[in-house]
Amino acid sequence: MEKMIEIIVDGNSLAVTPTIIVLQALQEHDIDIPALCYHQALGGSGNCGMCMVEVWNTNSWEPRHACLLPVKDGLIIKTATPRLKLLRNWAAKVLLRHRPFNNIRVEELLAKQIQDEMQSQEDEWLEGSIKKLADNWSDGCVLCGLCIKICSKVGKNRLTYLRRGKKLCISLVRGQDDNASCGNCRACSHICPTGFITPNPQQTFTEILI
Amino acid sequence: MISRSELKGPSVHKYQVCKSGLESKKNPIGLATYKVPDFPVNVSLESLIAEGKITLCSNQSRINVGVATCGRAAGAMDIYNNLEKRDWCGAVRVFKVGCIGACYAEPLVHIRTPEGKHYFYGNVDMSIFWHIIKTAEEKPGTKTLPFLWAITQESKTGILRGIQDMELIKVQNSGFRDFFQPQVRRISGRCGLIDPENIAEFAAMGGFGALEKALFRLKRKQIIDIIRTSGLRGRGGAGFPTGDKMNIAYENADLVRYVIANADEGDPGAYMDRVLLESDPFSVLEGMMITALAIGASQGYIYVRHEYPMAVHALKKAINCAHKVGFLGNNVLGSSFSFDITLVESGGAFICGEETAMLQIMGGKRGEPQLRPPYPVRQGFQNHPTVINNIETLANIPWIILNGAEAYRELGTPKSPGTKIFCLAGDIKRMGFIEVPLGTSTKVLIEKIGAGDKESIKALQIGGPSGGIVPYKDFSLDYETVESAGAIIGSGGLVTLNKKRCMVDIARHMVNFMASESCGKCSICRGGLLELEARLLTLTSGKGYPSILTEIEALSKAISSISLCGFGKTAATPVTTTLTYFRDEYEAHVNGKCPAVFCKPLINFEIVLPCRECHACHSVCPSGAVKRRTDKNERLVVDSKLCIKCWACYEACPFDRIRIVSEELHGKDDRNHS
Repeated sequence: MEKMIEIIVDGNSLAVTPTIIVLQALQEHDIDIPALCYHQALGGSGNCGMCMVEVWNTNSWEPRHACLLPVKDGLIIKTATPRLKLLRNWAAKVLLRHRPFNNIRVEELLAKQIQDEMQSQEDEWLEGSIKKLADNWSDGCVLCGLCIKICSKVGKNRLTYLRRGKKLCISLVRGQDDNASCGNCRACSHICPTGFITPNPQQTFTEILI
Repeated sequence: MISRSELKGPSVHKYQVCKSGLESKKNPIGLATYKVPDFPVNVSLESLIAEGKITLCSNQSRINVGVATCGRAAGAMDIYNNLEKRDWCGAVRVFKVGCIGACYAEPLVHIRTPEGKHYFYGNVDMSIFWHIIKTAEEKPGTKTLPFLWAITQESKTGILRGIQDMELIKVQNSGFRDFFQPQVRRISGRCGLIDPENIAEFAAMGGFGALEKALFRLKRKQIIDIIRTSGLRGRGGAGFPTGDKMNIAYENADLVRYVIANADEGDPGAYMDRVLLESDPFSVLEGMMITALAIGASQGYIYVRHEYPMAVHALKKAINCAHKVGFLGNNVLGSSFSFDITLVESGGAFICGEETAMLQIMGGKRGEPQLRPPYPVRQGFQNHPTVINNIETLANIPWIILNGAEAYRELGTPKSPGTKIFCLAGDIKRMGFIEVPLGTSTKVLIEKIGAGDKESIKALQIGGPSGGIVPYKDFSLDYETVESAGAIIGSGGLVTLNKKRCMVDIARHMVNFMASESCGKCSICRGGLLELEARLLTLTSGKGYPSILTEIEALSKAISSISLCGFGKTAATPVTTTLTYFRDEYEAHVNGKCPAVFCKPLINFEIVLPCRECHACHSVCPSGAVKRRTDKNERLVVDSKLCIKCWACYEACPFDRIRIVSEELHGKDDRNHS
């Protein structure tokens, strides 16, 4: 049995194992932290920005990603402050631009984080210009990169990010001499948080996945 | 049998890894029996200096044509080819050199006569060839003077170690003096005076003296101590003390260490690394060698972007040259120190200048910044301690070793000693590459060196897109003062913006750049910057709504707090600084007015009376918007529905009777038709 250490979350002290990260510790104690791009087997990547918590750092509270923060004895954390709500609000707004999602639960999770009602009239114009500014907008995929990670772990490591910035996309890169391109393990479709990779010819990386 | 001419191939092939190099390696020169000697020909520094002096300060006249990127763009290659073609009867030699810094005056030709006089000609074209030829052949005609910019004389004829060894004796073009006088050329003194491909000329100009001193007269710890006491700070942007970085690597338990020179320069408006590499590549190599010697590295890399083909070319030549004479490779200058440099060419991306992203690329991965710590200086390239320095930082090191830490501290401020290269760009008359002591005031830079008009300048953009935009006033340019103003010195790009520039549009442009160059890993940096850009676009196209400014502020804060790397944390700085200093412009945009009359959807063109009816505007208008009004008093008017706001009529009007107006709109209904 490992020795437990103590962290303080919102004023309550929790006993946790010393080798885990904060997000895991919070989830073990049923503290609800929204996280989209985190998977236990793959570790955190700080991609979606939903799991922000505030950490006491000598003289001020600092916003940090719970999925990248290892637990430490005496760590003091806040999980719900006005600042965190604002940060999550914007992170959720950015992610919600990719709706509609196939997985309806993701949309609910994100919508819960939005504080103010968006102005519908201006928002339409904004949404239009955002999709015009980004070259290849994909509805339904938030580009979290979980599929890339799982493909490099259990699959044939064929998925990758291509391009950068506004034009970022996830693509399947075929090998030079094998036509069967992907191992067809469908790990990506199982891990996809938004349900984007589904047996739908228009929405898969490759027709072989169907 | 092989003929003698076939034997003249390059004798050293071990110099690089880029694609073209591999191809040439595969099929070198078709010599099956000729074996390339893998030992360099050891040349002593003295003989190299003597060789360099022959071409540098010879009995022949020497014509230098600046053919760096800026010179080529202005057509210097034509001038070089024409001068080179001429039969000079052995009296004159023509050389290709780098850029002296006065990019506004390109193409620049500079002549050194045997008695040590230097003649500078700027903005050269074919019409003044004859004067150049006459000056070079020592028969200065009377008509030479109108085209001549300046004459300088070497303080001691035959000794030339940089531009600081010259004295101005006659100035024809006063701008030329104003441009050079406030400058202190410590590390860029050789630029534009030597042939960048000639190692002997570099040595004759005082090069490799610091390397020799470091190798034979200093201990490794002493080198680090000199750099530490000099207080040199990294010139790449963050300003971390270079000596401390070297010391951390030196004290590391891991004995395999690397030096990397970061030449992936991506800030719009900054090009000092390019100029240094194109004009004086050996000083960078020397700086790398001294760093490697001090920390105990035996392998160095230069990471350079593919978009700098001439810098890549110059570096390849320089590394090859240094190998040939035994300044690189095994047992440098006969000492026990061995060092080799490999060139890494990569497609340029702004994010790849970040050191952890750069290391990812060198490891064959996608250029994504990694979480720090661990810092590369403890665990970098292939998990060994790696000292990553900017090109300009490396070029500083030889000077410090040669002249000592105390001499280095003579200029600059106590916290930021030394000189810094700035690149002037924007709405000024004299653009270029300048070196001034840190702490020099912006007034000297903009008004004296750059000849900017004080009244018309509105703002300064310092430190590239992740720097900030601050209102133009007189302040000292050192790390602390600039930081307190809300910007960073960064790599040293200085873009001047005049009153005709709309700050909201500039901010939109910067955010557009950052959104396109983000690596895209954090969704808040990729998507958040896109949201920010869309909101700024909303403002510049006249569709602003009341809550938009609070949204922009909150979003900028969210981007900087959620993003993981330095790129995301600073990406919104142009917006936050302009919102602080130019909030009135933002507020005007919300109401549909652009105070700088720049944003096309918010402006209208008007013809004001008295109009002379010359019809100039009518004839240039490409969309037929300038029409004759058909009611009682016939006159020309601009139809705002047809107008595409191309400014053609404004520029065509000989009497300045076209006015551009931007008025606040009241109420929502008005807004829809604009």
